[in-house]
Parts: sequence; structure tokens; C-alpha cells
Amino acid sequence: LKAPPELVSFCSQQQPRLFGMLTLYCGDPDVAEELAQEALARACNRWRQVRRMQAPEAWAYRVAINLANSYFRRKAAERRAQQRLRGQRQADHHDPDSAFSVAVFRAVAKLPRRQRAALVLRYYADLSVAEVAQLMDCPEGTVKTLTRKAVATLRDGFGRDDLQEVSHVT
Amino acid sequence: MSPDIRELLHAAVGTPRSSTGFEAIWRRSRKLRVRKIVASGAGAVAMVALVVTAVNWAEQPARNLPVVGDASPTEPESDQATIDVGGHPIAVTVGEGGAWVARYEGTGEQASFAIARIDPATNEVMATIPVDGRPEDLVASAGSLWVVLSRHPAEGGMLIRVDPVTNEIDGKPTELAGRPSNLAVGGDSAWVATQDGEVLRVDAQSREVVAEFQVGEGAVVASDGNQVWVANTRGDISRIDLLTNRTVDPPVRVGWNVVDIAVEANAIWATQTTPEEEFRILRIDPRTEQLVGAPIRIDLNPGHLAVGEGAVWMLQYAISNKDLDRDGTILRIDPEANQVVGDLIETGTGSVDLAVGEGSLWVAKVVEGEIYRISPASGGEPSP
Repeated sequence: LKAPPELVSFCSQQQPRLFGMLTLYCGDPDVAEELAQEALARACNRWRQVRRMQAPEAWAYRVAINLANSYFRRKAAERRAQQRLRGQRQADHHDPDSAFSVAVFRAVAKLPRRQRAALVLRYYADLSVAEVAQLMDCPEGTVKTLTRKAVATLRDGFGRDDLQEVSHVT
Repeated sequence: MSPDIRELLHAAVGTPRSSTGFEAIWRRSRKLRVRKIVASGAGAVAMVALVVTAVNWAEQPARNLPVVGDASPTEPESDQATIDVGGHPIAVTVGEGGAWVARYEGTGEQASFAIARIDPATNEVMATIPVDGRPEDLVASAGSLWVVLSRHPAEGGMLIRVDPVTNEIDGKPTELAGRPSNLAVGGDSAWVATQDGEVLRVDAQSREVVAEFQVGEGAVVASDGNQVWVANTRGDISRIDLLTNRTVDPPVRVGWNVVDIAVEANAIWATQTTPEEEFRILRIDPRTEQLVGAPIRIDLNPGHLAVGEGAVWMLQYAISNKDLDRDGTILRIDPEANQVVGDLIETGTGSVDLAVGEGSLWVAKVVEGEIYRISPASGGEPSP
């Protein structure tokens, strides 16, 4: 069986974004890679339906976040991931400033789960408020509240009083 | 210039490096599909699935061909949630605008019991109603929530009504001589099975016990609102004539222990275990009161049955450690085909009750203190 070219293209485009988003969300690149692969494998199996959706990438994000939540719940991995983050793992895959990345990861990992999801979907995956609201099954106002709180917490925890919410991503 | 949050996050992640190429994703998707086919217990139709899949990939015009093991994935795992109910849930039902959960906190003398009402629109607990006894079962139907409570063995049980409008206990409880085990609502009455093998009919208006039925050990009762059926460990399944207040003779005799029954207009479903540790799902035609088709054999311990969303659902439990990965899985039975279809839905160990309604499956997780709300279409896990 051969994969259609458009599926190959979709996976190739989405994989890095999913991986990055899940790395932020989970705080663990290994887990992120596993979950991104699983989410896209599901997209492969359901491609006939997924390709007809208005936003196939949003579907993949939703599956990825759900997979991550299931993973946390069932494997109690959130604590382990954070322990690893505090321990020997120094985000070896990252660009030059690893200490900076680890600091951001730690700050993001401390956020409540829904705030974390809203934050990474909105500001890493670049989804609109409406898309995040649909994805998280909540009102747009809730998304705004969640992201505002998340940014405020990051501002305090990360020690960046000058950290701003972006307004140009719609 | 102040950095914005987007720049910060992208800078932290850097250029995502992953060893995953498309080939790895593709291989994984093939394995996933095979795993699903195996999980559905439909090995014999695996070839059909492969053929169907091949047709799909060959980009034939869409013909809505069924894909075995791929449970109608029109939406992702969207309407799913894990709901904290503030205690340990032991039973769940859906109806009258809510999902209703019987729960306890504490143990022994310190135990306290309550009914939590979940708003299906928000997945949040919107009311908590303390009750004076352990809630053994509850049913939301015909403008009421009915709950049977057991108290100290010497004190028997109680049936109470909760008004779904006010979320308050309404009127005086009905005292029950026996310790209740399960409950059904139909024919303007509440029906309480007791651990003494009786089924009591309680008139919904007067709240009086108006009839008693000696069903036998392990009595269970179920109703779809119009017909009421009872069963026991002898394997007798009987319809109750609502006009004469008698069980209809002869019963449908299935030979061995009936674990649970579920009633819908065109079928009565029963789960059964035999001394040889065979586990079966049986179907009875309510018009002929005869078994229909061959029993569906299952290889795990049968648990609660629930009907809704176009299917019959059964919670099942591991028999031994080797089956633990399937403990708390939910089977889906297609009533048209009279066979198990789709994926097993994993809910994990500690799932004690199952209900269907508001477009979802609702599973009581006693240890976690949570209700899992699961989309019937997803075949997947709930998300917090």
C-alpha cells in the first residue's frame, strides 16, 4: 500500500510543528516525538476523513493534545518529565542557549494544563482564538482568559516583567 | 523592545529536530491499523479491512465503505473529558439534563455519600446532593432521578426521588425491607431489586410498595420505560406483566447465571457466565420471548450493559493478570449485525459502572474519583 503524496506532504509539514508544540506542552522531547508520531499515524489511518476537514492540522493538534493528556493521566509521566527536566536532561536538542530553553520549559511545565494547552496552541501553533476555542471545546473568552493567565504566570515565573502578549496573531 | 510570548516559545524550542521521517509514521499507522483489527476480535474479517483499505488508498470515489476496526472517525477525540466528582464514584446514569453520579468519601463510620450532578454542556459538577445511605444504583427518567440507598444491614434500604429542577430530595423516602442492589424505572413505577432476591414495585406517585416479586438469588431488573424484565443466577429471564403484576410464565431459560440485563424496544440483552467460565452475551426478542441468534462469546468477565447511541455497550473485566491490559475495556455490539464491532475502548482498571447518554459513554472510575466521558465514535481514551 502506498501513501498518497498529499498525505506525505501533510505529515512532513505538520511533524515539526507538532513536535515543537508537544515539546513545550510535555516538557520532554522524547515523549513529544512519540506523541507526534502517534498523532500523525492516526491521521494516516483516517486520511479519507481528515483530508476533507476544513482544518486538518487543527485535527492533528487536537489528537496530539488528547494523546498527551492521556499519556500524563495514565502513565503519571508529567512528574517524571519534570524531574528529568530538572535533572540531567539539559534539552540537548536545542539551539544554542540550552539554559534559556530549559528555563522556558520549566516555566511552561508549571502552568495548569489548560493554560498550557491554550498557550502553546495559540502562540506556538499560531492558531486563532476561535480555532483554539473549538479545539479545546470552550468559549473564546475562556481561551483569552487562559492565555492571559498563562502569560501573567510566565511573566512572574520567568522574571520577564516586559513579556507581552502578541496581538498580531489572529 | 519587549519580547512577545510567541517569540519566546519559538526561541525556546528552536528548530525542532526529530528523527521521525514519514516512513516511520507510515509504518506506525500500519501497525496501528493491525492492532485495531486484532482488538476488535474480528480476525476473520481482517482481510476485508485490508481490501477496503486498499480501495481507499486507490483513491476510488468515496462510497462510505466500512473500515473494520476504524470506528467512524469523523471527529477526533473531541467530546471527551475526565471529570473530578469530588469523591469515589460507584454508579452513574444519564438523563433529565444531567449525568448523575453516586459517590462516597471516607470509609467505615466516617463514610459520607452524595449524588453529584454533572452538566453535560460544561462537564462540571453543578450540584451535590448529600444522601443518608450508600447509593447502590440510580436512574434518571420521566422527570425524576430515583436513587436506592442501603444503610446498616439491619435497617434495610430506602428509595428516594430527586427533583432535577431543584436538585433537592423530594418528599418522603420509601422504606425498603431488603438491601437494594439495583434499580429500574418504567410503567409509572420504580423497580428495586434486593439482595434477598426480591424485586419491589414502588408506585411513582404514592411512593408505596405496590407489588413484590420473588425473582431468586442474584435478582436484577431492567426497563426501557415501557417493559420491565428481571433475571437471576438460575438463568431465568422473565418479563413482568405491568397490568397483572405477575411475571410472565414460562421465563426464558438460559441455563446459567445472568449477570446483567438491558432492555430496548426490540431486544433484551443479557450477559451470562457458566460454570466452565464461558462468558456470553445473549439476545432475546421481546415479542416472541425467544433467544435470537447464537450467543456472542466473549473472553473476559462481563460487567454492566448499557444501551444507547445506536449500540449495546458492555464493560468487561480481566480474569487474570495476563488480561490486565484489557481490564475495564468496553465492547460495542452492533444490534443490527448482532456482533461485536469496532475498537475496544480502554478505560483501565477501577471502572465500576457505565452509562450512555448525551452523545457519550460515561464511566465511573472509583479509585481515581473521576468520571470518564468518552465519545462513542472515537474508540479512544478520554482526555482531562
